[in-house]
Amino acid sequence: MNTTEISRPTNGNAVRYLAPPVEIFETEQALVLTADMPGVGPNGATVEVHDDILLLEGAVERTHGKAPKHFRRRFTLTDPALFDLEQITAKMSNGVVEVAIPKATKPEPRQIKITAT
Amino acid sequence: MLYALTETNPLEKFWDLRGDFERLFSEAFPFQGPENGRKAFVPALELEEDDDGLTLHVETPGVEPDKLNVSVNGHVLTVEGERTPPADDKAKLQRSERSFGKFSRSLHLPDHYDSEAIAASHEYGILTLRVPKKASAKPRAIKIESK
Repeated sequence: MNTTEISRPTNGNAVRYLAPPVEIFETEQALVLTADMPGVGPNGATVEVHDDILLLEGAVERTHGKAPKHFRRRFTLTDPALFDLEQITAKMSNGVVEVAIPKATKPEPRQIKITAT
Repeated sequence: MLYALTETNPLEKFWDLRGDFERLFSEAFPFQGPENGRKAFVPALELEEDDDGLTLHVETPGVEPDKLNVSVNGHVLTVEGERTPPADDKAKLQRSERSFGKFSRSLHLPDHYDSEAIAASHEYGILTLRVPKKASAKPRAIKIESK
């Protein structure tokens, strides 16, 4: 089970997707999402971002002729302007995917010089 | 910034509904767990049997292998461990569906399994245990001798 690939279903109705349980929390720097996808390795997981949509997928190839297991869940960022979507990171460890969406850095407050006319 | 991540898939409504049922059910039959207010983590098990033995898959996502303990006492096989939450106390929790804490699951192995020869492996959050049948319990063909 070293290389697991997302196998695209030829018949969309044939695949049953499992919604992985998630934990979402906010730290000072980022919004962090963790999801349980046991059996999914780094090669079997995908995290996609389209505008304000975050799509999480994972596939587990299984032995003994059993159908592969598919995980899938989709989220919407309600206020994408608050985040730096270019800097999203994802890592996988022991079957848990962790996605960090860093908060956008606010520009420092500055004084505007008033010039006399 | 509450609910900065919300679900969009209309199919997910089904899961929400399922959650409602589960809540209803758990309110009617509260689980007397060791955790306070929070659902205890119970790893899912999958068992496969073949001619040579038993394969047991224990789903323990997020648990480091060194936090897992497998033991055999007589005929009882026990898997124990602890799942620690990723968020620290300072983080603001927005949604919590995963559960954490100490867990323990035990299985009684029938006599014809060789509890001395259990092999364990761990990959991507799944602990796999292989329990072979005792040689005497394996199916064998009896040769018919012709006179």
